[in-house]
Amino acid sequence: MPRAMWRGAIQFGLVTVPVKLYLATEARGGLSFNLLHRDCGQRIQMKTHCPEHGEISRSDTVRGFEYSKGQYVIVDEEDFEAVPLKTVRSIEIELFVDATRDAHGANFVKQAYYLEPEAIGRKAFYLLKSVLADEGLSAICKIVLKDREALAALNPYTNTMLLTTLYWPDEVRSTAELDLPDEEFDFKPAELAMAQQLVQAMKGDFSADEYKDNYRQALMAVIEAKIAGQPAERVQAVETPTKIADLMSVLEASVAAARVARTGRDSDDAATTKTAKPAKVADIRTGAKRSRAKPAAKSAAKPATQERRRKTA
Amino acid sequence: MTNGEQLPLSIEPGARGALPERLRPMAPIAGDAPFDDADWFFEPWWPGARALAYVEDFGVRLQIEHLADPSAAFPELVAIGADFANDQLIVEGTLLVLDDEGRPDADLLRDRLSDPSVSGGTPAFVASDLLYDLGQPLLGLPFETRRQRLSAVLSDTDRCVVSRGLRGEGTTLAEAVASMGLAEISARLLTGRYRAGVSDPSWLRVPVAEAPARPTRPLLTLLQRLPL
Repeated sequence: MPRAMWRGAIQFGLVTVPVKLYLATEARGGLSFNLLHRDCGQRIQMKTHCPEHGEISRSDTVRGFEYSKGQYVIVDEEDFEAVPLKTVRSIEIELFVDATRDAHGANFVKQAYYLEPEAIGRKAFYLLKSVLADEGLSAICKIVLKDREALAALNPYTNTMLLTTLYWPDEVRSTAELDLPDEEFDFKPAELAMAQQLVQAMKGDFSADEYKDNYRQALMAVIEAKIAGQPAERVQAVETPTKIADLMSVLEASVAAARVARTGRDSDDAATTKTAKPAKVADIRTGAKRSRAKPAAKSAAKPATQERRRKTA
Repeated sequence: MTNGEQLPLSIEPGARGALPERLRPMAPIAGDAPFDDADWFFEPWWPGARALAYVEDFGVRLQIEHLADPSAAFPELVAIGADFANDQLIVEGTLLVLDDEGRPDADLLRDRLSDPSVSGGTPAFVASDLLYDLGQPLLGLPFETRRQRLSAVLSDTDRCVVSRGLRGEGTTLAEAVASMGLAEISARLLTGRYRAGVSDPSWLRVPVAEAPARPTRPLLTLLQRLPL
């Protein structure tokens, strides 16, 4: 059972529904590492250090707000408790909006929390959930979390509800600074049809289970192999076949392999066959050597050799 | 043009020359054995149907042997016109059908060509030559130039790519092609013109020499899965 990170009540109208909040997600994007001293392997310590008194205890620290350069006012727990906010310990519903996202600018999400109703408020909790679901509505509310009042949206989610905290409008950056074109584009019907065809072909139902964090898994495998005392094995590139581009990669790989085999053989041979420096695969494609001049005399000598290569069809 | 420096997404029809209704393809001459010559360009003879793709108004029609149009058998390729940066093109290449493992499969190709309602495999077009660009014929230009123009107008996609090849090193390419289980390479004289409807010694279709006894390096693991 995870620990509830907040206890309070949903308030709307005269109804009060006591609930607990749990973090809905955990950050596992990267594995976390500790810094060790290279020579002895000891974990290095991050000490709280005062430039005047040297090392100090963390309990001897306070929070200061820098109101002008080098000028601080100290804010302690009592000050936070004294903040006159109505939303302390409650999820105060401000209004209900259409649940489609762009309708209320809820695209910018900070964190999601699961709600768990206290036994006493279960019926009211599920009544609220069922109304939201039936009407296709989101509840926009305010909540104080970690000393800060946050804007949040409340939505039905499987067998509970989800509270997602949102960025305040003044925290959302404007797109004005981006280099976006003013003009409207004219698309030919054929272009639109083509794009629509492509989109149609790639349509599907999103099922998050099908996606996984491959990097994390691969890194974890490397770590586990090290723990087991084996040298970490290099991960082989995953091949996704049935693409023509892959066939070209296979060709490039086999050309490289043929070259490797060839240099092995050539080291015994005379250097004559190696006079032509190996050209890159598809060097015509990249045009890397296109300007190499060809002596005109050479093409004059050509017909004879061509004659030899030709065979009566 | 309203879009200033935009790519020519909105080419006005008629501003470019029209493409010929039909172009008789050039034909190669059979060669004996792979060779090395810096004046030649070598690429695999992809085991599929040689085809011309006419890209007009960003749509595409295909033409294979006997000037037939197999477009109905390749619905996946109807939109490859969008893969090219320019319009009014004729591109020569090979139609392939890939099996689930990404190998060209002659049976799947034959099934499609004989019955357009069959839809097995993944079709793809491997481009080797550019014959018309923006409605202008390039037939009189050297192969090397046509090939550079081709690379400039086509960026690889999942269904349409420029074929890869080597300049000069025919025997190396032949070994590589053999290790993929393919049987022939195409050799083009870099200075060769495109001679529509004619067999010309500037284009050779060359069988690869016998494959080396066995691949010499473990890095071939991928390829060892490929022998057909």
